[in-house]
This record gives sequence, structure tokens and C-alpha cells, in this order.
Amino acid sequence: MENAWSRFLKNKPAMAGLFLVTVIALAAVFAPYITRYQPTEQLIWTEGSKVQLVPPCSRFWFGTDIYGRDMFSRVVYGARASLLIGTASTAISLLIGITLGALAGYYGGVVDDIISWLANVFFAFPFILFVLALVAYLPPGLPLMYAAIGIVNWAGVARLVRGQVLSVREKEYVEAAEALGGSGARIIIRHILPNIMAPVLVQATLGMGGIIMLESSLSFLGFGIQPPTPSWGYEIAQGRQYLLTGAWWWSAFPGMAIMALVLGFNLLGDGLRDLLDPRNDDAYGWWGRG
Amino acid sequence: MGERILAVRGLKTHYYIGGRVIKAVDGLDFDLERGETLGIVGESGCGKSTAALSVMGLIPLRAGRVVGGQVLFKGKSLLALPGEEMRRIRGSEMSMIFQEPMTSLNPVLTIGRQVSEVFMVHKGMSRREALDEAVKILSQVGIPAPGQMIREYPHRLSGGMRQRAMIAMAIACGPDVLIADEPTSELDVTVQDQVLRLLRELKERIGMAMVLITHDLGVVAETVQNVLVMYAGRAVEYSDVSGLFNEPMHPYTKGLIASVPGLGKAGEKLGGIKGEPPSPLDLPGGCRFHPRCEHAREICRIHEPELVRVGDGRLCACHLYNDW
Repeated sequence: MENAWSRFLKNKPAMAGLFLVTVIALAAVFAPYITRYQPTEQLIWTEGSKVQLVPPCSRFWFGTDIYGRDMFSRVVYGARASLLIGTASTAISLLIGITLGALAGYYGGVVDDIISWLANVFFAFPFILFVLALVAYLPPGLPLMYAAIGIVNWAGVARLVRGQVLSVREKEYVEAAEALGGSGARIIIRHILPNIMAPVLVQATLGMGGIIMLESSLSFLGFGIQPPTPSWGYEIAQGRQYLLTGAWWWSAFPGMAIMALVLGFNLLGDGLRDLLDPRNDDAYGWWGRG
Repeated sequence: MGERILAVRGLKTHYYIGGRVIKAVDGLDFDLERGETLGIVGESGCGKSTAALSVMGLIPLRAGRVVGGQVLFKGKSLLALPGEEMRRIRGSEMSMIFQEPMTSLNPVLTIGRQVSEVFMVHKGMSRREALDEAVKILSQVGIPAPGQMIREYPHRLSGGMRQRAMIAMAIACGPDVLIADEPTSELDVTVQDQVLRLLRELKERIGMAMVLITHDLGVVAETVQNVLVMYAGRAVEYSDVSGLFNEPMHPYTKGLIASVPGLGKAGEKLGGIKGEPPSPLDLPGGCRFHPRCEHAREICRIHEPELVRVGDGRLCACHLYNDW
């Protein structure tokens, strides 16, 4: 593993991705310590007027919005929503996807047919429409967002896991485990899953970017995080009308935050894929890739 | 006669590939007594391994199934047992080891975890107890420094050590029957000898019966008591080991023995068997060996010979066994 880790350290794009994700995650965790104002606090100048649409300056790094709220605080706290939904939804999609994918791959037959058919239905369904429909009918809220996005994403995980399980289950050590009397569940959990976690990890990391984009899109459309809780997509939507009148900062900073986080996860995922792909070795393009 | 522990009767296992039927095992009979060592020999593709997997109930459902016959283990019909009961027998009362020690161990789990798992599954031990047992059983199969070995991953072990670890897992619960499918084919000759000696020793110590599947007649000669010769999915000859080598009856057995260097007379040209084994997709009618048999007569093309007693507890499936 020292070798793999040192190769990862040399992979500049992956390190850049790791850096972006880490910085944003730390900012989200320590938000109260690095921001000067509450994200929902409507600031008022000492003479009594609102601190409206102040351009970025040394006091308000990202400027303020029309309600007199500090955009830096809102962007930093907005990272919480994105990361929370990203991780929770990924966890849900992994839970469903790994379970169903492993069952389909290991047992095959009718089980496989049903699960694969279900996955195809989810693939064929327009992503955002599905979540919109769910969110529109049920009262909006964070748990609903996790569940909706997780449910939308399980099919990709399941398909990946199914394929991996299919290839691993033909290995001799699985046959040997069966010959020694291991039950189906034990063989899947103890013998097969540890052997396929690498590609699943890569897919989960790459999927985080997509999920964060999805959350931002939903919030942009007003179906996601409900105000006044800060969320990047919602900020972009709110600031949009002021873009052309000169108050560019309201939309621009949340937009850059989304870009940075999604880019970070994608670079990290690419790096992990290169790292965990056995076909890669040091002689083969570690520097030029990504 | 000792107590019969395993009896296979008319076993038929077919694979289905692209709508075609492959009759890998097609009417196999054999018996195994308590403590006996039986060798099953035959060319690649004659159904040896399929027979073993059928007995263990390990034919993958997607590929094929046992379509006929009976497997009686201690009087129980294994083919009729529900999956859960069969699972409890596998690895405790009846175990199997495989050909490739390189791939039969899970690369991402330590030796200790894999060996201790058998105790956790069959004896319901806690992980700690099971690890202690794993150390004991590893030392019994001649693995040096087992206390350290349980923390190693399989790729750090040599082929011989891996096969020893596999054997440890297979005998952990003191099985009554151990099926060894080509256990030494992938090992160096010197290591082969050590592993065979280990298997013989363990067999004596545990008092288990062993089925040794191999294509190596040398291994058969030095390890087993009785031999079953398989051809195209069926048994063609059954004999004690000295009878088989001194006075083979079936023409196929004769050909097999003649094709091994050093077993015939020195200076003699190596014999062999003409042609190829038949495709299991398209088995010849009559005796399955007749297209390759130099003694074949009209009857061989028409009637399939039964496995009949030919004296001294020997069996042979040939119309002409005393006539050619």
C-alpha cells in the first residue's frame, strides 16, 4: 500500500481534487469559526439602512445579497447542504445498489431478471423529472431529498456491482468457500464484496459530483433545500436577476463553489480509478493523465 | 468389507450450453468405504471433476444440473437434501480441495480469517476461539510459524503452503470424506510428494476416506488402494491398484498405462491411444471407446457394455474383457 499511496501523491490532478474536496469539507464543518456573520442574519449599517448588494470587499469577501446577508457565510454554510446530501444520498444508493446488484449477480436467474429489469426502468426514467415528481408530491425536506436522489442513483451502482459479482463468483476461491459450507450471504459479504470494493469506491466518488449537481439543480428550481437555509443552487437562482445589473457576485460565488466541489470529486474519482486499476503501472502514463 | 460411506449410483450430470446438452457425467457408479482411498483417473474432460462437484452438490445452477442417479452419504440421499442441510454437510462431514492453490484462496482475506471461518460456520465458535483453532490446524498440516502465518495474505505464500492452507480448511472439522480434485497437479514435483504424504498422513490420523481425482497415474500408484477409470462420463474399470497396473482389463486402461513413461518395460516404445476423447456433445453409440479401440467388434458399435464383475472385486465395462 505504501507504493499505491506514493503513486497517488504523485498524481497531480487527483491531489488537486483531494485538496478541493478537503478544503470545502473543512469549511463546511468549521463554518461557524471561519465566517463573521450568521448566514441568515440580515445586516444593518449603524445608521440603520440594510447592507444591500455590497460588492466583494475586505469586510464581505463575497459581497452581500439584497436582503443584507453576507454571501461568504451563505456560500460556506451552503457547502453543508451539498455535502450532506451528497454523502447521504450516495450512502443510500450504495446500500440499495450493492444489495440488489450482489443478489442479481450471485443468484442469477429470475432474481437477476427482476432486478435488472427494475434497474433498466430507473435508467430509462428522466433523472430530474423523477425527483421533481417525488418532491412535488411529498412535503419537501432533507430526508426526502436524500431518499429521492439515492433511489435515482441506485441503478448505476447495482449494474456495476452485478457485473463485478458475476466475474468474481466464478473464481475458485468462491467455489472453495462453497465447498467448505459457507452460506450465500456469508460468501457474498465476506468473500465477494471485499474483492469488488475498488470500482464501487471509484463510482461512488464520481457519483458525488453528479449528485451535488442534481441537488443544486433542484434547489435552483425551488424544489430542493427550502430557504432561508443556504444552498448554492438557490443562491444562483436568487442572484440570477441581478447578474446583468452589475451585482454579479450573488450568483457567481455559489456557482464557483459548485464547480470547485464537483470538479474536486471528479478529479479525485479519476485519480482513484487510475490508482486502483491494476492495468496501470508506473511506466504507463501517470503524469499525463486526468 | 468395511462400512460403505458413500455410494454413487447411475449419476448423470448434464450441462446446458446454448441449447445443447453436454453429458459430462452419464451414468456413473462407485462406492467408497470408510477409510478407503479411491483414485478416479481419466483424461481431461472425462467428467472426473464434474462427478466430484455433483457429489458435493456444487454444480452451478446456471450451467447445469444433476439429472439422474443417487448419491448416498451415510445412507442419506444427498441429492434430495434441502440446500441448508447440504451446506452443513459440506466442509464438516464432507470436504473438497481444488486444483489451483493459487486461486482457491481469497486474495483479500488473511489466511487466519479464511481458515477460522470454517470453525465459525460449522462449530459456531467466536472469532477468537476460531483463530486459536486455525493456528492449531495450520501447524497440523505442516505450516511453519502458524501464529504469524494467520496474519499473512495468500500472495505471500508459496503454492505448496497455499495448498496446505486449503487442506487445513478442508480437514478442519474432521470430515468423513475428503474429495481432492487434482490437488497436486499445479505444484512442483518435490512439493507434490510432500502434499501427497501429508494427505496420506492426515487420512490415517483422522480416519477419513479420500477420493483422489487425478490424471497422473504415478500419483495413483503411490497413494490409493482402489482405482476407478473414467471415460466419457462413465466408469470403464474398477480395480485395486496393483491389479490395475499388473493386469489392466479394459483396452482404455491398457492404453493409459502404456502411455506413461517408465511404467512399461524399459526400451519399449511409448504406447498411446489413437484419436481424441469423444465430444460430450456427440457421444458415439455402443461402447463409447469403440472408435479408438483396436479390438472393437460389431457388438461394440451397437451395445453399450455394462460395468460387470470380473472376479476379485474388479469391475470392467467391456464386451471383450476376456476375449481380446
